[in-house]
Amino acid sequence: MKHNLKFTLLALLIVMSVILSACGSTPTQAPATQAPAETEAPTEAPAVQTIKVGALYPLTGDLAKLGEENKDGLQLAIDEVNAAGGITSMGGAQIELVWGDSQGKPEIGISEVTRLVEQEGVVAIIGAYQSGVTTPATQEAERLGVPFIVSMAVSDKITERGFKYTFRICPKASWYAKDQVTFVKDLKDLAGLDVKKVALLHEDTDFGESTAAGQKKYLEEAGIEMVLEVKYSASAADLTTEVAKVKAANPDAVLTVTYLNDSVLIARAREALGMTNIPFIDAAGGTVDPEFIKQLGPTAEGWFTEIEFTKYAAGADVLNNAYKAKFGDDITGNGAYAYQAGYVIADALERAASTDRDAVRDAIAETDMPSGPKMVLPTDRIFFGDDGQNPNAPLFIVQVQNGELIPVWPGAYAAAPIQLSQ
Amino acid sequence: MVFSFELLGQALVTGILIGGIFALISVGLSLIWGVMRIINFAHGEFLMLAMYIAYFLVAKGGWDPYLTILVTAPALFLIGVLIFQSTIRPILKDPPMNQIMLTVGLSLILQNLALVFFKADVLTANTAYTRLNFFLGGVVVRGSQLIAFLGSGLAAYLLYWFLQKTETGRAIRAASINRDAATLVGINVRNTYLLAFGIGSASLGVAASLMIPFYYTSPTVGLFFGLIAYVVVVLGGLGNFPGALVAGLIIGLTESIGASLLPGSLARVLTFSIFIIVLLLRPQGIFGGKQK
Repeated sequence: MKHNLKFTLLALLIVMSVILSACGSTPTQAPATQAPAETEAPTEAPAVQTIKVGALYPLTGDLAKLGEENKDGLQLAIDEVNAAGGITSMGGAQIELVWGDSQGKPEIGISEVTRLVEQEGVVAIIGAYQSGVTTPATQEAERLGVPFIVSMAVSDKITERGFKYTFRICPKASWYAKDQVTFVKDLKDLAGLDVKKVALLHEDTDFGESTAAGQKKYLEEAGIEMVLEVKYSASAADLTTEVAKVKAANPDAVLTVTYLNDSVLIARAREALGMTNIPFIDAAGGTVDPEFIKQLGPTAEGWFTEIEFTKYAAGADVLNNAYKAKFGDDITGNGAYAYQAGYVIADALERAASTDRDAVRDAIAETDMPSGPKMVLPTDRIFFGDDGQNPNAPLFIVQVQNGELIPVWPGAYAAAPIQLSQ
Repeated sequence: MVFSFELLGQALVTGILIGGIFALISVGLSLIWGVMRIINFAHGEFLMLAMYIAYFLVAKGGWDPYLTILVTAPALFLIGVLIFQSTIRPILKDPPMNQIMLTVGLSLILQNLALVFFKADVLTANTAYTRLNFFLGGVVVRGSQLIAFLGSGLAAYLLYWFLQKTETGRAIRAASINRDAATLVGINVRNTYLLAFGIGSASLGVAASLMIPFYYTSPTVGLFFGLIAYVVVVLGGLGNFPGALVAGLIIGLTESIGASLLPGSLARVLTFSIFIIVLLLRPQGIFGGKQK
């Protein structure tokens, strides 16, 4: 009897997990009923009432919360475009976003691209937040000849494969290091600190190592001496010795690459060792997590880090207020770049005046958006190079000032001057 | 390569202070092994649970971190006793492989439960002691780490005194030396096991409260400390109490001096190299000479 009970429980468990996994996969199958849409959508420009644009983000799974930020930002832009009269060159056609859910998995990302194109007949796709999904998804889009606008996904190689249909608005991973170094150079003019010697302090997984490789390259180009490189394991019980090593090298500034737990240990060791007069500049690692400031309090003050977007940037309040009114939270970098992608596709559709994918692709390639309410990045204009990469995607350097991340660079978008303690 | 006496001094101070904590974490594991010949692979996860308890008391309840010992130690004693009764007691006489599977399974369950209930977030408490630092020459001494070191020493001493001087302590030692003889002279070995497991777990409660002012907690925090504890216990000789204390300091110093000389995770390689060398040359541990 006892064995029977166990068996029954096991059987029940199996049945339940089958049901659960079936639930998980329904989104991929459901839209099959809408297949005829494909034949209606393309070419006949004047008759078009709605234009379908695909959007691929991790909407379920571990990254669902981050996927949601992208989704909300994009939806906000498209709602604004539609409310303002839609695409006027096509008789006020409304843009309809068709959502694809990558679930954070590359293989599902690929099949969602196929579905969006072949079953939904979208004219372009926006996505996909993760590099691991975006890399194969853009490859599939390239194969199908559908323009893919990468709102966020930073792996350098995404726009280094010679693809014709891939366009990226957000910065490349290596630009985090580039902007760190440019900022260090600008410290002389902005804060009177002439940085001659820099030390690197970073965790030693791929994230830390690859960013540090970029830091070394750009430091050399800038003619700044790297006096020391300290690598550490992010699971170390204590980092006082590592930070003391940095202190012994007597650098003018320190570039770090961290996760949250180690950034907390470093910040505490830095304060304990009396190094608050040396600026620490993190590459958008653990320091951008709200927990960094929340948990460290005054110890976090003065730290610099990089961020894709901030509500404190000049002119960002309009967007942030609109976003907050609709979704309740402050807009994040993910949301802002997805929002930007919404305006890039609307602008391209307006100029293409067609739902032909190649016409739309050419229109995206000719994008040239000046700064304004429809262009919210901290730069004067965005456009795409021959490789499909937007070369004007600077990061904000933000500094912890009174418990908030305040943008201090690029200069024209700063909300407060840089504070260096003596 | 930067090197200075100041840096060496810093590595020594940090290593000794952290080593003290390693030692306290390890004595519990050593005690449990010594008494019932079971390696508790969920030891690190017990520490993780204790750190969450301490964290929430400090961060949400506004407790003084060191006062939380009054909760964490009894709570861990209780958790230890409950887990022992429900899962470990039934397999005490099973082959070692089954016992290893069970405690490894326990550690995975605890880790994933923590992931569900506490999320993967890294949590750090900002306490009054966190920013307490002072300089000795050019070497910074972290006040919270010094307190943790002294607290660990005191806790280890109390535990040692308890095992040596009290009747119950003698019973525990008797059961660990010869189970049958202990039963013959009227010691309730079952209860002794329960007590030893409880005390071994409670020492983690103390360690967690001492660590919370300077260390973070996360569902995987136990992985690192669990691993360190096995190394320390083997190095000091399985079940050897003073050996675990000295070995804790050795590993703390190795980690910290290694970090000052070697880049990144290579420092960790040094720790485990010592571990492997000891296993090869002195499998009974550095201080395990008298062990049977």
